[in-house]
Amino acid sequence: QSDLTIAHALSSASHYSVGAEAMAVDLAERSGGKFKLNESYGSSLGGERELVEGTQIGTIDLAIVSTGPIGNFVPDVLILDIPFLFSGYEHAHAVLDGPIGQKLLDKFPEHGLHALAWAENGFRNLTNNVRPVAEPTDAEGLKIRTMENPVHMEAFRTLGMLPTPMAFTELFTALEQGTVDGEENPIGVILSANFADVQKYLSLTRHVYSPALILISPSVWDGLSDEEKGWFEESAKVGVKAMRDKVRSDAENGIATLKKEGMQVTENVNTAAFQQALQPAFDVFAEKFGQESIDAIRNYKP
Amino acid sequence: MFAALKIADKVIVRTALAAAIAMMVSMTLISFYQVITRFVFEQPSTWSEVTARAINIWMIYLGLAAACRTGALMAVDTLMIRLTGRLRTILLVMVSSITIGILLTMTWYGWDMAGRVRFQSLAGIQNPFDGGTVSISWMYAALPIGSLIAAIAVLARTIEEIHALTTGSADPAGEASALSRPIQEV
Amino acid sequence: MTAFMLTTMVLLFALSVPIAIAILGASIGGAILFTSLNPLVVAQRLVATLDSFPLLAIPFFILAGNLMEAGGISRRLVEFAKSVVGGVQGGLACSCVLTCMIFASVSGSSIATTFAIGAIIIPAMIRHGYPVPFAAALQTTSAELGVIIPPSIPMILYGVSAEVSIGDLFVAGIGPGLLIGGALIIFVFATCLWNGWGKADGEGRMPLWPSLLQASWGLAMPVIVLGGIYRGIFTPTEASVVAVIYALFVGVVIYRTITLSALIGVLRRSVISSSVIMFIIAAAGVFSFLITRAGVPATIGAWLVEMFSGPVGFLLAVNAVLFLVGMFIETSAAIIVLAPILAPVAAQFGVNPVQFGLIMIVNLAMGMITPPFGVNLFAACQVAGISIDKIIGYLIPFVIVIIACLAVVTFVPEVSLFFLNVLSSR
Ligand code: NA
Ligand code: NA
Repeated sequence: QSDLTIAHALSSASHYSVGAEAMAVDLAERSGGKFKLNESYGSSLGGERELVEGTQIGTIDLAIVSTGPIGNFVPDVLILDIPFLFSGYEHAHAVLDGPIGQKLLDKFPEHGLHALAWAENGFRNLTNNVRPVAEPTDAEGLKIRTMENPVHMEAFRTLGMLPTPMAFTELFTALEQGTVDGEENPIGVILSANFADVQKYLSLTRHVYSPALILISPSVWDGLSDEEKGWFEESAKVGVKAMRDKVRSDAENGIATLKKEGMQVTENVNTAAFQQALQPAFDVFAEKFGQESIDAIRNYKP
Repeated sequence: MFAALKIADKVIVRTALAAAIAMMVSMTLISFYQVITRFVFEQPSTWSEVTARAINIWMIYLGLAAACRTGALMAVDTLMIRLTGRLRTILLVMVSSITIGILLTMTWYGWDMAGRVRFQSLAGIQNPFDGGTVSISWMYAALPIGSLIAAIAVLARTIEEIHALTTGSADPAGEASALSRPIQEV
Repeated sequence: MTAFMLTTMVLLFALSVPIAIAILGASIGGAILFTSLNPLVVAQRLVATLDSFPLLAIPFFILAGNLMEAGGISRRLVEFAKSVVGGVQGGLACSCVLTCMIFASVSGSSIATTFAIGAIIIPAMIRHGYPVPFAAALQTTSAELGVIIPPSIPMILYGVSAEVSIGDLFVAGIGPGLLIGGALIIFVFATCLWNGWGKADGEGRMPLWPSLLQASWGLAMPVIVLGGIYRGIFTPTEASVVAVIYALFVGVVIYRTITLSALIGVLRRSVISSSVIMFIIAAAGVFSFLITRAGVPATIGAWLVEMFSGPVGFLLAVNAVLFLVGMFIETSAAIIVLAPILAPVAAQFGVNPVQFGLIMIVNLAMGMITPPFGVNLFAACQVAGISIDKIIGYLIPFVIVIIACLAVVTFVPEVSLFFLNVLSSR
């Protein structure tokens, strides 16, 4: 019998936690109790970057992380951060669960990592305190907290916004005090972080689809038999399914809750205009990632 | 051997302190620049935060050498203060050996780690010369380099203290190190 | 593993091994002997723990405090406090508390406060006939306000470890700071009357207006630094940088007391102090990772929840434990290891995480003045030139005053949350 740690940086009520629990239950059953997963949540074993690094050096057995820090380990993954790349959840799932997603996962071992499956954070939406955002011109000049992600920052700059990297723990106060005007996150995060208390406007921009990953330490992976590897892969899929269901229900119920909490929600965002305004950034991304690779994702049909 | 240590002590430890001071100045300027860019020019800088963080780590581990050299590391030295003569020398050698052992362990693992992560890039920053990425090894390297210099500094200080104890000259650690050691403001 | 690590750490402490080295020694030993973890984790945590923008505020607040002292800001604050308190009996002793409160509103550290204010006020008190150990005990205790009144290095650490907003903690510190400052002033005043000390305290003080005028550059500092944070101009870390630039400006341009060689001395001291404290923080980061990986926080948390039926028993027990911890362990290390364990349990008992932070900080700040390991105590004795044994008798009443204030902070949440509620209901 073998105890393994599965770590993530979100709370015990988050979609990561739902996914970790589902995976743990399934793996215990599938392996006849041979593998037990102990969940560690809330960054208690380190932030996301450290968790990825931890699986690399073998101090973290499994981790659920957003793609935020992954780009610094596996640069090919950054392509997924391009805005408006995916038309909806079905499209994103089809791409990631299909050959394109598998090809990206296959790159991980070259960088000393191993990924079991693509998980999910959902589509990111913009909130702010200045004005409702429906058109790209509405977004101009807004100071927006972003992750330290070069693709996101390039896109926001192109839209005339002022991207400001900042630690998530400082974000609530920064929004409250007006250090930044807004932020962007999936609905579930906006809800659980109580941003409705400090943000007036929510625009359903769905500008970026944010995937996540279930990683396993190569030192654990390499010690498994082929049969055991199969168990982990199947259980990871069960975890992903639970996580995606939770993200979907958070997004659907969340908007109603946020409205009730007093946020003014802009549902009809002029997505076409945003895409047009982003053209200079798309040109940069095409040069960086290759137009064919981007089109292969955009136009993917299962 | 002693001559080599003396030179290492004079040159390397002092250089480390000078470099740490330069780093404190630069991280102050960079962070101040960050405030100015966001607040005055409304154009938030995206590279300054990660740069200041990396410089801070270098400042700390290079400064550690200077802290060890001046005996500034804080300790519960109730026992040390109460001992005199030979017993005190024995305890001093013991404490210094443990300290040097830990510092060398840090050097060893730190070096290994810096090598292990060399293909990981630092988030939010570009190489100013070629626009490429910057390896995170540059940040991790502060640990082995600083710890190694700190180990040299501990050795130099210990020899000085033993010399003072055995010759009975003015005790460099003070009559009671808790009272006279330069803890300074922490 | 945990038992081994704790035993090793205490043993190494007792042998006079430096705190950070003792924590690391126990951690490395624990990792290698009791786990199958790659020991590289030690190197990872020693760097990654420090790789945090909020923690940058620590060296900056240390540097700002040193610049204020070298630039003459501290001296003018003392003059101003003396003038405010006036010529009443015991006025000088009361002005020690008051200056520490003002200095604390810019400095994030207690030791910085002890050195900056103690170096000026302890000799003055001795000249006015106060017993040396009383002056030292008073300075030791008053300087504790350095970490309770914002900004505060322990609050930054608590915010980072327990994932609570540092800005909120800063606002919450105002109430307990005023409470403790007020209690100390009343106690000191009464003590001086009782013992007949400080009858001639009015001598040699400046008139109020000139002293206010010359201290105004220093008094403007908290307005800029704290005001800047609450008005959303900058984050706490950026505020600490602004404090550095401001103190430098006043010292070099206005008072013209900081020369290049003085500046290098200030930088040198600040680098060394920062390294000492940040190295302890890094070592505690390694220790904390290992016990978390072993599931200790979850076990302790579950045990505490089962053990106590309500918040009162839990808070009493936590305070007793923290008092003991504070006697022996350095504040930063204690916060990094204990905050992630205790804060979630406190939340389960319905204690606001910001208020709980203040409970931890007020309690552990007391650890800075209690023997055998008390950084303020070391510093004040060094400034006053006496040994620790001599001041303990004078220290006990002060500790009792702080314990009384701690009880209020623990059981009256409004003390911490009042200003926070006022600010967020704007
Ligand atoms: Na303070
Ligand atoms: Na103590």
